[in-house]
Amino acid sequence: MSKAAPARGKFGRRLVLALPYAWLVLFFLAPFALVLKVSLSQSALGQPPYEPVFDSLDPADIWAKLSALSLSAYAGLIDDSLYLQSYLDSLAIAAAATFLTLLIAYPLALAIARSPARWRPLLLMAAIAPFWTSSLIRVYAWIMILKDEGLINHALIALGLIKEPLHIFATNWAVLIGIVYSYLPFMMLPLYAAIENQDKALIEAAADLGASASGVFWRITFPLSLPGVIAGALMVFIPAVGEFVIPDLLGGSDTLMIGTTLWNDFFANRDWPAAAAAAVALLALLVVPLVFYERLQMRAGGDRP
Amino acid sequence: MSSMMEPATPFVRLDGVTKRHGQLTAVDDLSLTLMRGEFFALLGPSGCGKTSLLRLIAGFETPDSGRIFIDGADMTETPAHKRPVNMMFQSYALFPHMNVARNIGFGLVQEGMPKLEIKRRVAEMLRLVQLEGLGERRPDQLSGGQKQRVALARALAKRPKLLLLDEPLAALDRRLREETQFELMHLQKSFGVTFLIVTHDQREAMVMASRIAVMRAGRIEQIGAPAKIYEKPNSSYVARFIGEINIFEGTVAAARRDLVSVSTAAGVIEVASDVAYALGHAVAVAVRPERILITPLDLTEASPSPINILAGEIEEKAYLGEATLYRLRLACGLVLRAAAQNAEPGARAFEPGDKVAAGFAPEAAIVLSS
Amino acid sequence: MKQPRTPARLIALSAGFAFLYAPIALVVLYSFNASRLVTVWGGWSTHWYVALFANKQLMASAVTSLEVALASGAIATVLGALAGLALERFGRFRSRGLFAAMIYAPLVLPEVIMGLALLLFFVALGLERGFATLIIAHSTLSLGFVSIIVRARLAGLDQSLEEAARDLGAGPLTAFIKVTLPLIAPVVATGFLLAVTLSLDDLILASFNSGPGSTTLPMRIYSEVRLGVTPQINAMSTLLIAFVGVSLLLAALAGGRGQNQAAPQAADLKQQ
Repeated sequence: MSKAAPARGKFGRRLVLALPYAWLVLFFLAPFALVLKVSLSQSALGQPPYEPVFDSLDPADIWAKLSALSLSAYAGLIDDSLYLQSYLDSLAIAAAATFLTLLIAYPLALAIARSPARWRPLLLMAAIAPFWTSSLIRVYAWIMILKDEGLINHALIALGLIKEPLHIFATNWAVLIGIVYSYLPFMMLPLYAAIENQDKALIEAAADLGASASGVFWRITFPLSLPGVIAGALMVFIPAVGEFVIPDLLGGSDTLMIGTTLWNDFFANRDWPAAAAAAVALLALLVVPLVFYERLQMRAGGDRP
Repeated sequence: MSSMMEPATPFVRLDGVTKRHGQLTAVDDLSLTLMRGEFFALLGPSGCGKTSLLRLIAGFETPDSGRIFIDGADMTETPAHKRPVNMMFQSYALFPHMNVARNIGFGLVQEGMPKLEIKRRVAEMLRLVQLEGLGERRPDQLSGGQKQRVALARALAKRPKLLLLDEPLAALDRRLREETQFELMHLQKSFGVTFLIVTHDQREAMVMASRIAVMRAGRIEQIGAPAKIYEKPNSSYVARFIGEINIFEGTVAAARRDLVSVSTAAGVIEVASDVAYALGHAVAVAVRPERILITPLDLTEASPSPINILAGEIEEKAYLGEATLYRLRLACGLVLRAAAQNAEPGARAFEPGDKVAAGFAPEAAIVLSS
Repeated sequence: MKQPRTPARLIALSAGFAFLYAPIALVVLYSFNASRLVTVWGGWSTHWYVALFANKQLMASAVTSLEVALASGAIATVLGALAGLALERFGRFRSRGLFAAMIYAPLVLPEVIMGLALLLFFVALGLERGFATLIIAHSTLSLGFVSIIVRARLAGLDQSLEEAARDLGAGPLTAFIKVTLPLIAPVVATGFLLAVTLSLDDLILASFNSGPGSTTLPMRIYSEVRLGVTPQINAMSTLLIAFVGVSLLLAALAGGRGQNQAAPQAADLKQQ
C-alpha cells in the first residue's frame, strides 16, 4: 500500500476506538455523574422534581450552589428504616439466590461438559436458549405455577399430598425461585467454560494415583473450576441485588428489595433526589463485588487491571 | 541390560485383548506377557495401537474382549484407581493448582498415608529425581525437564508394581533425552519396578528396554531383546522399523545346507540360512548398512566366494562424525545404503561419482519371508 | 474413565432441562387452553390468539418493540464490534481501564440504576423521551454484550492469517476486511441477535426512558400481568418464544456453516 497507509491506519484505529468510547462517555459516564449530582440536590416540586444545582457559570453563583448542596437525601436514606431493611434484604436474598443457582447450575454444567464432544455445543445451546426468551414471560410463567390457585398447588392437592394450598407466591421464596430460574444461564456459561477447559489428562492422572470419582471431583475438578464459580456468582449476585421485576411480580407486600423501593420512590413518590441517592448507595454497596468482577474480566481477557 | 538373577516370573499377562474405537480396531486379539522387574518397550509408529494398549493396562479403558491379569489377579474390570499401576503421562498432567510437593504426595493422600509419612516420602522422591528444594514451586514455574521429573516422582511415589510411561522423553531436547534415558534405566533397576514404556523412537527403545515388542496395526509383529530384533527381524516391517536396512526382493535360486542363493535384480546373493527354502519361493534379503564394506572397484579382484560383491557408483555421502553414510546406485538401478565407521581419522573416504564395490558376507544378510 | 452412560449424568441433564423448560412449556400449553383458569383444562382452543390479534394496544406495542429492537440492535452491534476489536487488538492505550470498565459494567449493573441515570441525563439535556431515547438506552445496554462475544472470537482467531494477508500486500484495513471480518461475521450476527433479544425483552430501561406513544411490548405485558394471569399474554408469549426459537435455529445453522468454512484455523466454540 502507499505511504499514506500508516497515517490512514492511525486515523482508522482512532476512529475504531473513538466511536464506542464517545458513546459510552456520553451515555454511560455522564448520566452517572448526573445521578450523583441529583442525589445531592434538594427535592423541589415541579418538573423536573429537583432543583438544578449547576446552571450558571458565575463563580458567585457556583459558590452559592455548592453551599446549597445537601446530603438531605442521604440523611433521609439512613433515617428511613425501610431503606435500610431493603438493602439488607436485597443482599440476603441475592446471596441466597446465588448459592441456590450455583447448586443447580453446577451439576448441569458438569453433565454437559462430560457429555460426548458431539453433543456438547447442542446441549449448551439448549441450556442457554431459555435465556433468549423474554425474562418477563419466564417470571410470569412462575406466577402461573406458584399461585395459591396455581399449577403446583393444584397438582399437589389433586394428588392428595396436601389439603391447603402452599403459600409460595407472594413470599420471598417465590422471589428466590424466580431469581434462580432467571439467572441460571448467567451462572452456567462461565461454569461450563471453566470445567470444559480442564485438561482431561489431569482427571486420568488423579484416578491413576488412586482417587475415586468423588475424590477426583473434590480435589481436582472443583478447585480448578473456582474461577468460573466466582465469575458466575458475581454475574448473578450483582444484578440480583437490584432486581425489580421478580420481586415486584412474585414477591409480597413484605418483600423489600431495593429495586422495587427505588422504583416506587421514583414513579410513585416522584422523589428524584431520594431515588438518586438510593441508586448511588446501591452502587456503593456493589462497588466491592463490581471491582472484583472487573478485575476477573480483565484478567480473563489477558489485560492487567 | 543385565541378565536376571532369579528366573523371570510373569507379572502382567494380556490374553487375546481386543479394543475397537468405532470402525477402527486399535488392539487386535493381542496376547503378551511382561516379566517382573523388566524394562519393556512397546515400539511402533503412531496409530499402531501402542497407546491404546497402555491405556487398557492402566485401566482408563476396558477391552472389548480378552482378559488382563496383573500380578496374578484378573484386573480386566477393575477401575484405574484401584490398580497397582501408575502412569507417567506424555503431557505430564501436573495439577496446576498444587505445588510440586502436593503433586507428588497426591497419590499418598489418596492412600490415607499419615501426614508425616507423606512428607518423608515426598522428600525422598524429590531427592531421587534431583529436585530437592523445589517442593514449593508450582508447575508453571518449572522447566520442561523439571516437570518431567515431577511427573516421574509422582508416579513412583506410591511404589507401584508397574510403571507405565507414555512417550516420556518426547518433549525433551536431545541432550536431556540421553541423560534421562540412563536415569530411567538406573531408577528402574534400583527400584526393581516393572517399567512399560511406549515410544515411536526405536533408538530410545533399543537403549532402555530389555525386551521390545514391535507393533503394527494393533498386533505385535515381533518380541525380543534389542539385539535379536535388530539382528534377526522376522519381517521387512520390523527390519525397516529398527535402524537402517537394505532390502532386496527376489526368488530362491538354489538352496544348499547352510546357504541360500537368492536371485535378485542386483544379481545372485548368497545368504547364510538354516531354513530350507523351496526353489522359486519369493523372499526378501536384508542387509544392515554397517555390514557392508566399500572398496574401490579397480582394486577388487575375484573375491573368494561366497562373499557378495555388488558394483555401483557413490551417489551421495553424509559425514556424521562418528560414521559416514553412503548412498550407492547399483548397476541394476537399485540404491544401497552403506555405513562406514570413522575409526581412524583420515582413512580412505569416497566421494560422489566414485565407482566402488560393496561387499558383504552371507552371514551378514538374512532372509525375510515378506 | 469412560463409562459412557453414567446414570448420574443423564439424571442431572434431564432434571436440569426439565427445570429450565417446564415453565416455558406450560406457558405454551396454556395459551391453547379454552378455559381462562389455570386449574381447569377447557380443551384446545386458539381463541386467545384471535383475541390477541384484536388487541390493538398490544399489537402496536409489539411493533414498537420490534422497531426499537432492530434499530438499537444495529447500533449496539456496530459499536460493540468496534469496542471488541479495540480491546482485543489495540494493546495498551491510555484509559484502557476506564474503557473496559464502561464496557463490562452494564452487563452486571442493576438496570434500575442505569434506567434512572439515563432518564436524568435526558431530562437535563431537555430531550423529549420517546423513540430516540429508548433506542439510545437499549444500545448502551447491549453494546457490552456484543463486544464481549466479538472479543472472545477475535482472541481465538489465528493472527497469522491477517499477517499473511499483509505479507502478501494488503494494507491493515484491507486485511481486516478480507480476512478477519468474514471470519468473525457469524459471531457479529449472533451479537446482533443477542442485542435484538435484549431490547425486545427489556422492561426497566423502557419504563424509565420511553415516552407516550412509544410503549413497548414488555411494558404492556407488565401492566396487564399486574392485574393477573391473562391467557392473551400466554398467546403473546408463545408467539415470542416461537420467534426467538426460529431465530436461534437460523443462527445456529448459519453459524454452523461459518464454522466449517473457518474450521482449520478457528479455535474453539467459545462464541457465547
